[in-house]
Amino acid sequence: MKVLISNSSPDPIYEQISRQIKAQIISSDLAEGEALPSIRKLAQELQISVITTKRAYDELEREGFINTVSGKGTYVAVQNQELLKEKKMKIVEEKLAEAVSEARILGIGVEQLKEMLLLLYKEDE
Amino acid sequence: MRSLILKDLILNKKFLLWMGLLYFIYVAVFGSRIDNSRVTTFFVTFLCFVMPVMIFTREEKFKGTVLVCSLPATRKQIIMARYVLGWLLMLGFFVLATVAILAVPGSKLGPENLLNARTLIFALVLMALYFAILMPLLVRFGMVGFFVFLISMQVLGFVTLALASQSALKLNIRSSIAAIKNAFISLNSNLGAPAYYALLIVVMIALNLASFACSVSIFKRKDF
Amino acid sequence: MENAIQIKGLRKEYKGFTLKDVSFSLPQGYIMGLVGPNGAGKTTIIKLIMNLVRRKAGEITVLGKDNIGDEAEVKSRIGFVHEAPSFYDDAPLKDIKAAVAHFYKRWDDKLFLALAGEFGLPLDKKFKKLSHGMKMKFSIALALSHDADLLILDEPTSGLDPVFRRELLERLSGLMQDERKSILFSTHITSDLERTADYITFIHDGEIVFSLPKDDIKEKWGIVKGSRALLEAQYRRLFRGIRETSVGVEALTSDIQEARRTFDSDVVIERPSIEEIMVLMDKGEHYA
Repeated sequence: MKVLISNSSPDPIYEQISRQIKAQIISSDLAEGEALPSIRKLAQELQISVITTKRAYDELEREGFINTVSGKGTYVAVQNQELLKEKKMKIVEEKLAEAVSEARILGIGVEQLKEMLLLLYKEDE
Repeated sequence: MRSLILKDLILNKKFLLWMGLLYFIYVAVFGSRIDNSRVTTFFVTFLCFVMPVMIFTREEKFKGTVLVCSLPATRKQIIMARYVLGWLLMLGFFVLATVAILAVPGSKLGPENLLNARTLIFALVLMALYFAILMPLLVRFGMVGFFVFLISMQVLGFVTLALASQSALKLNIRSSIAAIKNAFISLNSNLGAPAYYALLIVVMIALNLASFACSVSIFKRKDF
Repeated sequence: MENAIQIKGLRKEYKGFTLKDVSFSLPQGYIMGLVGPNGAGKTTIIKLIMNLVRRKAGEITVLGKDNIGDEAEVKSRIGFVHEAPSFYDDAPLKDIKAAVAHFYKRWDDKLFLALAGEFGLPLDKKFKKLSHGMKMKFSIALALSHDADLLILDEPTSGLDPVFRRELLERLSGLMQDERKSILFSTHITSDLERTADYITFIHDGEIVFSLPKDDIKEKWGIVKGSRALLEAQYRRLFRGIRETSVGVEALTSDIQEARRTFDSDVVIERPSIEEIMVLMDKGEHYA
């Protein structure tokens, strides 16, 4: 699990943490059932308050990303595959929306955009 | 409370050992020359009493009381430990002194003078009086208090002597001392020696308990 | 879980100084930093918790028990470091340790010896021969060696070199892995708290200014830097403290969102460090 926090970012630290963990769960960098460090361990390693890590974990738990078993620890929750797919779709959709709005500003038409998309797919193969 | 007493013994062990040695020698040398058991008792008991006083003032000198008050002990327990330790030290040194005098060959006093009930009870009464009166003063005023007491006793002595040299008062003081002495003697003969001694012991215990209560209430109010 | 420390309405009067109406709590399992300028009352509060001085009014509950009513029991679970440790000057450290160890059922001598080794404590030396830093380290080692549930440290980093200071703070963080333990420490070195503290209680002139989670302060407070226009009456209600310099004005607000809404681009709004908060609340004018 990788978490990098920035003191100069306008986002509160707990949000930075929960967002990064969320992203890693969605992208399957963090596998289902994988153990996460305890809130206190994480606080110690990031050198931040345990209240912050607790808040981040509480949010992730509320949204169903992680599970805390008292006495045992915190684990990545079994993800609802449909929900996960939906979340991943949403990310791609957001990125496409960005591309579309940029294209509009630059005067690039939808046909040109389709061509670019095909080329990019071919590159990856 | 065991911890409190142990603490004082551990932290003062070198001091106590040296003092014990010096004390033994001092008493052996000077105590053996006295031929009046009364005087010896005054002399020895006063020195015995000084022992715990020195221990307690050492604690004050090293600001050790702050340490003690941070340890798991109530203020009452701290004072109780002082009283118990104080008595243990006084009795211990008394035994030491008696042994010192008896052990020295050529002592003017022997076991028959020093080990009889009268002398021992007298010693106990003196120690009890010193301790009961001085402890609250020590707790309240510290080392300074002890010196103030000593000095004022001296001053009182001088003043009394000076006044006593005035012939009119001489008679009064003489007669009041005589009256007190007679009161004790008559009490002694009325009750018979064992009862009389028992009474003295009870009074001394009561006095020490009152002194203890007083010290505790003073100590509870102290800020460190 | 109960509060490790709970203080209500505490009051203490000295000749030139009064501690008035102090109330705050430290929940179990967290670290609280008690900050304030010298003479603000940090040591007094700590002495009152330890019953080294008598309180005029108020209640102090430690680990669920009254700090005076259950004094011995409470203190057996506290590891305490005084701001100027003093023990018997002519006693060697190992004797002092022996004397203290008897008081604690959970004394761990192996742990103490390990700490003494790590800290470089000369156990055979007399206490008076130690430097101030060494005396503090000794005091800290004693406090850490009996599995205390609550550590109360009065200026523990004063006189310590920066390396040891960092190590100490890390060690304290390490202790907090056990969620039953709590720590209260006073300091006027605010950088100690930036990383380690969960809660910060700021005391000034005998009164509690605030007692909040550190993250709340870092997230919700802000420093607004701008021109003298900030001194105008309409803005005053926003600010907890203002400082005027020859080149502008710095103002402290406890509601950074509102500040962002109120002011436009000719101010700079930043997250404050704890030190800046202290300075502005102390030296600055107080409005809110």
